Amino acid sequence: MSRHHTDTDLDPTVAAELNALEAALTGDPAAPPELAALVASVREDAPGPNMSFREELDTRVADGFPAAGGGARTWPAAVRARLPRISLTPGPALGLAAAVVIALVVSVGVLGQAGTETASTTETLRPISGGPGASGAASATDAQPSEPSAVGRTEGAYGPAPGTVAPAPGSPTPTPKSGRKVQRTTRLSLTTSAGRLQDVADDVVHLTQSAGGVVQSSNVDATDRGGSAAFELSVPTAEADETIKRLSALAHVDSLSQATIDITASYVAAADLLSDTRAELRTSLKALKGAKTDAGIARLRKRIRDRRREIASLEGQVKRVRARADNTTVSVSLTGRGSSKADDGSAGGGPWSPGDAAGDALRVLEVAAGVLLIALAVAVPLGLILLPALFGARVTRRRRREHALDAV
Amino acid sequence: MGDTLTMALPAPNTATFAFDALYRASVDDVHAYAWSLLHDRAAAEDVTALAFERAYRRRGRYDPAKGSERAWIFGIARNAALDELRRRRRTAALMTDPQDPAAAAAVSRAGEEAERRATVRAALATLDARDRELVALKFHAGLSNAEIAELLGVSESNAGTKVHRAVTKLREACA
Repeated sequence: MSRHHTDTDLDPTVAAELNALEAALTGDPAAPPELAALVASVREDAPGPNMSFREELDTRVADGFPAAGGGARTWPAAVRARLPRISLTPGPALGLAAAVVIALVVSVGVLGQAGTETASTTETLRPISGGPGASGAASATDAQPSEPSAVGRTEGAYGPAPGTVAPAPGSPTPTPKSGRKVQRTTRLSLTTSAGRLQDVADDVVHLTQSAGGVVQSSNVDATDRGGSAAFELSVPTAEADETIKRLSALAHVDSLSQATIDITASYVAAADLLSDTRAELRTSLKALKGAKTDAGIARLRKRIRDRRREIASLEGQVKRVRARADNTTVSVSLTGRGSSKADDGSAGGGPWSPGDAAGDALRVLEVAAGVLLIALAVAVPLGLILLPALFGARVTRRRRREHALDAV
Repeated sequence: MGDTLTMALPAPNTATFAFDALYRASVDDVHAYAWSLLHDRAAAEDVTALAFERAYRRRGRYDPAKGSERAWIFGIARNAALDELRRRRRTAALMTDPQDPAAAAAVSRAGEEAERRATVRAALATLDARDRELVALKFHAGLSNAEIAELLGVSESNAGTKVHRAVTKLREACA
């Protein structure tokens, strides 16, 4: 510390007197005696600290100022009372914490949305034609609402709602009594991870085809973070139980409901009518052989044509009713949930590879960068408000302190 | 083996040692400075203790580029003393400066020395608080004009002028 430093801007006389003062302060023998005496008197005027205080402070300094109450020696309460209260008001602190939390939540949400938008595809598969009973199944579906004369028992309503315990997949429906025609419908609700949605959807189609069934309609909407698919399948009733069992093994079964409608009456009615019409045709043919007049022959021929048309129609009707019994309609709804990256091994995603690790690391970096960006977006305006406020508070505090001197 | 022992020993805390040296070199002057502002021995002791405790807690923040350690501790002591003055003003605890018993005893002592001290004391009492503080910063703290300028937030020449004016007033009052 240079005590003899004087500013060159000072008046030379003032600078000289300040130099003399500095000399007196440092005990320079060349200092003016009057000034040296003044320095000594002023210094002696101030009383020194009490010995007890000094000893206590020495100890505290040696101990590194232990916290009050934490050690054997505690500082007098008077000093603690004079300590300025920490001006950490809860409002700004809570606001800042809330801003950070909101930034994090928003950033995660925004990044999640961005990830979802990356791979959204909608695929509609055409029904596969040519399978056994395809046309019949379609017709049977159309005819289902107009089935007023279901004879026998009707197993009703679709089973457990989602969230309830699903019935065992593939459990066979009650076998109808021999000779009765029963229409079966099954609804299967499956859930898988988002990344496997498309694979499971493909498996549904392949399973149906391998069972000799047809996919009447399908709609697959697969996205990176989820998606859904819906299928309307028609499966030979003989293969229905096995097919449902295999479909249930493709993903987690949320619900499975099965219903049966006895359509024996419809079938018997159509079959009887067909039989009667055929009998009528045979009778008409026999009568035609014995007909003598032209008018009689013409009348019989017209009747035969009509009977043949009726028979063709009835045969189609019987075929359709039989197809409803021979094929089971399976409605499959498939839901993909969660991130496609979250597939585990059991879900068929395969073992975790270095590539997955790199992808995960990249994803973490992306999220971190996003969080940082959004935090900055929050922090910058906040800082623009807080910094001037802090500066103003500091200036105000300094002014108040200076004013304290004026009040003495 | 010796090396192992040397490595096992904790490294000396240079910051603590530097603080101890600062404390021993300046504690009496800090107290005198605080007393000059507060004219209350108990309050001066409290401010002194508080200043050193704050300095100890913040010793990691000391920047030699901004001034000497002595100027730094006196800056902390000044803030503590001014806070104490503000607290007093709010509570109106002390409307007048109490007579220091030790000083009173000193005045009562006969002799030229005691008379001269009494004269200086009276002269100091005629100064306003800002001039008294400048005298304290110069006579007790021994700060340079540059350090006083840093402390008061003024230019160095302004600080020198203020110090000169205060000392001149004191000398005139003593005459």
